[in-house]
Amino acid sequence: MSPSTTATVQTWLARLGPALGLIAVWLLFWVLAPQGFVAWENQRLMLLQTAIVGTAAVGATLVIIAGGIDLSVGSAIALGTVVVAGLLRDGCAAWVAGLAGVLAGGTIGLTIGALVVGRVLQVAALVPGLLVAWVRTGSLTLVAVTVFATALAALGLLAPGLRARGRAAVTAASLAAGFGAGWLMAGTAAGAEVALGTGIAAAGALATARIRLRVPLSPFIVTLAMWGALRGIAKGLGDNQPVYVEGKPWLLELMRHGDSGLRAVAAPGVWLMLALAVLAGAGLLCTRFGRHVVAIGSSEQTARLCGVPVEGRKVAIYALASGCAGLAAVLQFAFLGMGDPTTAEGYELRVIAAVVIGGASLTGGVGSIAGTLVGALIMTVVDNGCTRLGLENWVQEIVTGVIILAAVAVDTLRNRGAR
Amino acid sequence: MATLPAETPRLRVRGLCKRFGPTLALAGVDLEVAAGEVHVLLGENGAGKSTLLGILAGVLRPDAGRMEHDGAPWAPTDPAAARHAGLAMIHQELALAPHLTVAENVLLGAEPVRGPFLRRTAMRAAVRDALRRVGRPELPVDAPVGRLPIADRQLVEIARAVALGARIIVLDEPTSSLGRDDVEALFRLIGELRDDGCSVIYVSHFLEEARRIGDRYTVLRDGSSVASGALGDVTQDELVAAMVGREVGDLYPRSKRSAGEAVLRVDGLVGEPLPHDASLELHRGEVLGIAGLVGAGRTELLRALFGLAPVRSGAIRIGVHHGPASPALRWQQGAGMVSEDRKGEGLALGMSVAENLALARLPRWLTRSGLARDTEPFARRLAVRCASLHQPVRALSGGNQQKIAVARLLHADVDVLLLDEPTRGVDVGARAAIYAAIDDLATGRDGRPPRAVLVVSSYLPELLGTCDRIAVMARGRLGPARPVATLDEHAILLEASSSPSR
Repeated sequence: MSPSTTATVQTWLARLGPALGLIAVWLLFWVLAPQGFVAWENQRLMLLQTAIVGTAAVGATLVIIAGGIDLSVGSAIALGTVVVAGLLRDGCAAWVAGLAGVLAGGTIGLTIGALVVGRVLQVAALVPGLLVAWVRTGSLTLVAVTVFATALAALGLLAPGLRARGRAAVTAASLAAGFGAGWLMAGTAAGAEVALGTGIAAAGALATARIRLRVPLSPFIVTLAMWGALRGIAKGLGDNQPVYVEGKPWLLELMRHGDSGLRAVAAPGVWLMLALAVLAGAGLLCTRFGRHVVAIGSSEQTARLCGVPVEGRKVAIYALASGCAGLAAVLQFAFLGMGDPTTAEGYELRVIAAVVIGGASLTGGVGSIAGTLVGALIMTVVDNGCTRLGLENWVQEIVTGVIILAAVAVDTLRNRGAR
Repeated sequence: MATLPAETPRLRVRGLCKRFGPTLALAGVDLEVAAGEVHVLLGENGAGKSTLLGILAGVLRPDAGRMEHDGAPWAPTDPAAARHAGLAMIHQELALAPHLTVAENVLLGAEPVRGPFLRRTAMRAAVRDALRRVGRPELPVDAPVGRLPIADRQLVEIARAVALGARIIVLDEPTSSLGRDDVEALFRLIGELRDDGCSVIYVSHFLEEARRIGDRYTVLRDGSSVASGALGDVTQDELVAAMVGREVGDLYPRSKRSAGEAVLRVDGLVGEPLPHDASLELHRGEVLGIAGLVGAGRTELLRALFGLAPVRSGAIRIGVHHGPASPALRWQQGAGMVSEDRKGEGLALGMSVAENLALARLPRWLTRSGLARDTEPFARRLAVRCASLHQPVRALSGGNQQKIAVARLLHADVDVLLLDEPTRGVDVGARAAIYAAIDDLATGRDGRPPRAVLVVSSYLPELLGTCDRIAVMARGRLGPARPVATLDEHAILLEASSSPSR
């Protein structure tokens, strides 16, 4: 075999490595033949079981390729389910609640990104406005609305390259949005309080926008803090208990199988995950933004030298990733049928495991969306197969640990020649 | 104080050779250091000093040659072995753990213990003794080293060498970060160490300094030792001649260029922490070189211009744009930069040739094949040798990597090129390709308006061969730019290594 053929074979092996692993694990359980493992019903179930971790892992892949890490995914999902359930309970339309779940994730991501690139002062400047909203309304739900409106305002006020008129428009829009949402939920007085809080926060953002002080924090630390804080917020919003929803909003259908058509093959949530993955995969390969993500992870210094707006890109990456976690939260809500501040515990590590089994490197620059989905599937197949074999939970956990080690060891071995 | 060669020398090196891939870093070095002498090691950047020191300290293995220490073979397997056998190396970047105390640093790796427990009292006593011998008994043994000023940290390193009983102490550019008074104190200390019978190998660019402190010298050039003897018998000019000693070949094409309007103007630029003062004017159709020693502030000047380092004061104008700007803005303004740190900053090693080449000007939407089509002409212009444009840059040779870093500026079609050590660690073929590209750009032979090029280099023949004018930077200050016809290596080296006038 000529060297180039060998190289091609090796590249393909590298690319297909996780998929081969998935097939091997699947075949193993097929041979062990636990009760009902190969049944079509079970395949469908495994896809469904993968949807939530898989959706969040698509976003986490971006973060990890860019050389970062996100430990807040599980807490963000829990918070998201509480937001969605709370809005539905208060009579919001299902699509509003679903969108709010995704946006809640995006807002969390903006905050994480802003802290990672060192805009600590600007983030802190938003806090007084939120406190005013809390003290005057006494309602965490209205504070959450204020957070949305504030995030919109801050995004406009802190983004580089926006002219004065653009900034004024963004501020006005965020005040209007805050007032509108508050008014819809609790009347005129509440709307005014939300707008007041948003206005104070926006003033804080404006006052600090031009200060160049930067205190970059490691993503590990920022998201570790978020891991704790977000679950606290979820518990506060849900008053320390699950949030139940009356009736059967259509959001619940996202995680139910149908009788015919595509919904018979897989639940809508699975299709959502796949669509998101295709979008993210194509974006990573075929857009400037995607290549910038890889460049930042491969060598942040090189990216900066080449004029990549590293700070802005990082904020966008964390916002997108947490947005994915927000979508995963909507799916989790659909799966549970309620908002639960204690749900999704440990998902952040399952998500990272999926990305790593999929061939990504925690040092950045390497990884693929397809690999991540395969990684998530491998973990589901192991869990499902072990359960059907009648093995206890602790066995699954050990097996998953072994698979993570094996995947990374194989990866390291394969790449040894290239370094 | 020079000892007779008849005595067994403390250190004797014969015919040392070391090859890194295609480059011969050492091509036969002889060095003889007697007991109780200060031996000065001279040579231009890239002459092989670092490699020689690395081999002496056990960091690198020689490919050929003999080394003897007090008549016995010297072949340290690692730095710890060299240290325990009595050779201490004190680098420009100090090797101290800033969070540990002075005492802990001095005895790091040689702590007195009883069983698993540190013997703190014995430790402090030993360290106080070492500090007394380096003339600073008042240094606080229990203070974290990170709180001490630089000069004191250096003394802690020397104290470490003394405490471990080193008989050969190597000082690599020890004065480059010291003030005048600290330099005087260091020289007194070196004199005392010599009188105690220690051998000191002193590496420096500053000739006056070397002549003041040294007894004998060895000059390295292109990996060989070309001259040695007693410093008393040699003039400054002779030393410079020995260090330079080669002629500019026709590796450097120079077409007829005509300088146009000024596209880069710098006025009284002060950076953080360097440069202290830099002014220059760069014209279209001109190649301006900046010479100087390592640490003089040349790299810092380029980084400040390009928005990679903070600017404290001073004016910058690129084209019609005033003031400091981010790298992203600089590219938009028509400026581009090649970093001196190819592997850490210049290139994203894991990404492909095409992506690295296009990174400064990626289209919003792209495909693999489109990117390859887009970058292929530029890779060809610099004769980048790679199996495929989709190959990771990591797999290429250093020379081809550097060609990609330069080709990036062509792809981005910039008017002002800032090149920091554009041919460092690069083979002759790649150098020729890069020089040809510089000449093409400056003359506008590629059918575009002539570009303006600013080159920082430590390799003087390269500056003399490619530049139209050269300015010398010394200790943070940039001198006036002079036409290259009025300069030679000798004059530049003298200006660059003259002692500071503060």
